[in-house]
Amino acid sequence: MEETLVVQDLEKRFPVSRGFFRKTLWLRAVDRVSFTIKRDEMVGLAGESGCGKTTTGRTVLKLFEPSGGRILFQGSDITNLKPSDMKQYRRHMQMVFQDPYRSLNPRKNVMNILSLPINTYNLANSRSEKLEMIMNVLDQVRLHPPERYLYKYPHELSGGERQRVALARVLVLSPKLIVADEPVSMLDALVRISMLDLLLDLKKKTGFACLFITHDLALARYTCDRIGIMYLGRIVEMGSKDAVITHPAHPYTKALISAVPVPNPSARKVQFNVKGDLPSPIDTPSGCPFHPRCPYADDRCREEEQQLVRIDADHYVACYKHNLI
Amino acid sequence: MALMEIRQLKACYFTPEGTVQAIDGVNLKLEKSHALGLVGESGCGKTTVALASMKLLPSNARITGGDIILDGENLVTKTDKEMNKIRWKKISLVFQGAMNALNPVFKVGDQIVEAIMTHNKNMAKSKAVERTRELLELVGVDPSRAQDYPYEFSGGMKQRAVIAMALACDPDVLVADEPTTALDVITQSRILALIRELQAKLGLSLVVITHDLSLTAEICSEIAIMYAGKIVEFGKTSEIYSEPMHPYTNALLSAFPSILGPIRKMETLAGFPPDLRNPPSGCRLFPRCPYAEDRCKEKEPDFEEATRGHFVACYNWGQVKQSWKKHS
Repeated sequence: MEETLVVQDLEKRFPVSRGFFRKTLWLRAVDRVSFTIKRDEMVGLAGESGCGKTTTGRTVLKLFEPSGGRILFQGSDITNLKPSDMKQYRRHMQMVFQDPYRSLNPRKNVMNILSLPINTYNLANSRSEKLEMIMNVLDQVRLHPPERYLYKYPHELSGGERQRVALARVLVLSPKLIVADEPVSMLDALVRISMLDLLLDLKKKTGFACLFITHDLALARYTCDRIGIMYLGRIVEMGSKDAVITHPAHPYTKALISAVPVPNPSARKVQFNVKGDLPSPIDTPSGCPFHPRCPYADDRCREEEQQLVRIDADHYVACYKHNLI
Repeated sequence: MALMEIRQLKACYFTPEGTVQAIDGVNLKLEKSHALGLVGESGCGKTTVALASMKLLPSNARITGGDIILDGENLVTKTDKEMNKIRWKKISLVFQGAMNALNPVFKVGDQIVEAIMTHNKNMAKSKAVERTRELLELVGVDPSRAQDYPYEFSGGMKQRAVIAMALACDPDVLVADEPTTALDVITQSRILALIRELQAKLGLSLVVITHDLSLTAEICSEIAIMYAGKIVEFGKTSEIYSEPMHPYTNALLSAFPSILGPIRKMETLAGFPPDLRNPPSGCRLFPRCPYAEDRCKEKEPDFEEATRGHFVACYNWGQVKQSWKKHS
C-alpha cells in the first residue's frame, strides 16, 4: 500500500448554540475534504485562519470525531473506530503542535517527556534500552550532546530546542504519519529554517508521510510536495506545489499568493485584490463559497456548487472559470 | 537634517539574574517622510529601541547613555511631564498586538476620543468626536463603527483603529512595533497598503519594527539590521537586499523563502544569539560567524560607512558582499 493516508469527503461539523429557544446551528469546519498522502510525501494545507486547516488535521488523527466521510490509514478504515481500538493506530499517527511553550509539560524534564510514549507502548524491555532510545532520538533531532539535555526542563530550553523535543517525542514512536500544525510559526527566522530542514531530512530518512498545516505559502512552497488551499472548510485548489504556486487557477489562490510579501524590493508582483472579509463559517454563502469576494463571480457561481475538477496531471481546482483566470 | 536621530543609545534591564544590556550603542537616523525598518530576531532589542524612543521603558529598565534627538530636542534629558507633551503629538507608537491594545469594555470611538482629549485639554468633545470620524475614515474603517466595541471588530479593523489612534494628534514620527503579526496574509497586505497610502497622503515618517524581512521590503526606504543589542548594518532598502555586507544580514536574507523565483536551499547560522547578561567580547556574532577571524574576537569592528550611505560593522564586509553576489 503506497498511500499512507486516504481522506475521502471528510466532514466535521460543530454545533453552535445561539440561546435556549433558538435552533442550534451547525458550523461546517471541514466540508467534504478529500486528499491522499503517500509514504515520504509532505502535503501542505494552507489558508487563512478559520479556514478549517487545523480542524482537518485533528480530525484526520481522530482527535475530533468526523461527522462524515472516510479516513483510511495504511488501507484500514479508521473512521468509526472506538478510542480503545484507535490505540494501536495512534502509535503510528502523531502530531506536532504549533506552540512548543504550551505543548510540553513544564513540570517534566526531557527524559520524562520522552519516556512517556515509550512506556505507553511498551517499546523498551529495560531501563538501559529506554535510555538508549532516548539518546538516539535526541541525536536524531540534533540536540547535541544528548546527555546535556536529558535532565533539562522546558523552561531551560529555547523555542527551537523545545520544538525539537516535541518532534523527538513523536519520532521515538517511529510514526508513519505526522500531522505538523504550524510547527515553525512561533520560531525565529534562522531557527525556523533549521527546524524545517531537520523535518525534511528525517522524512527522507524514515519515510513518514506528513501533513503540514501552515498559513505561510512561501514556507509551504519550500517544504511541501503538494499543496491544498482551503477556504471556508473546503479545498478549493490542490496539486503539486509548482502547479498551485506558479500556475494558480483559483481566484482565491491568486489573491493569497499576491498578498504574500516578497523579500526582494525589486521583484514585480502581480496585484490581485479581493473584496471584503471572510464570511461567517456558520452562514456560508450559497454556491461557490468564494463568490461574494470574487471579481469573476456570476450567477452560476452564486447558485451552483463547484466541485474539484482535474485540469492538469496533478492539479485540481474548484472553479469553472479557471480557464479565464 | 534628519528628523530623528538616535546616537549611541544604551539601555539596560535590571533583573534578579543580573543586568541585561538590551541595547548597546544604537545609532539610527530617520529622514522626514521616510520609512525606516528595524529588523532582528526576538530578543535583539528592537522593541526596547521603540520603547526607549518614547521613554516608555518598564520600571526595571533605564536608558544608560546616548541621545535621542527628535526635531532638535533631546528626549533623553526630558522629564516625564515634558514627555507627555511630546508623546502622541511628535512621536507615537502603534503597539505590538492590536488585539490587546484596545480596552474591551469601551467603545472603539470613545477610546480614540479619550486619547485626543487627553492631549488637547481645551478641545470640545464634539470636535474630538468629529476628529475621530475623520481618523477612522482615513484608515478605511466606516465611521459609523465608532460605536462598536473592540470584539465587534475583525483583527484587521482593530489594527486600523489602533493606527487611527496613533495618528490622533498628527505625530511627526510613527513607530509601529510588528504592525501585522497575528494578521492573515490578505489582511496583512491591506494594512501594508494602508501604511503606504498614509505615508503618501500625510508625509508620515515611520519606524517599522519587525522580524520579517519580506515585510520591510514592501514598505521601507531604509533598513537597519539589529543583532544582540547592536545595529550591524544600515542602508537603503534596495542595497540591503541586493548587496548585504554583514554575515548576519546575509543569513537572515537566506532564511526567508520567497514565493517567486527558483527555490533556493535555505541556509542558517549555527548556534543561538548570545546571553546579553554576559555578551561575548569583540564582535557579538563571532561565535556563529562563518567569516570569523582572530581579530573579530579581540576587538569589535567599528560601524563604518563601507559605501556611500551603507554602514556595516564587520571587518570582512568586502568578502561577504562578494559571496552574496556569487550566491545569487
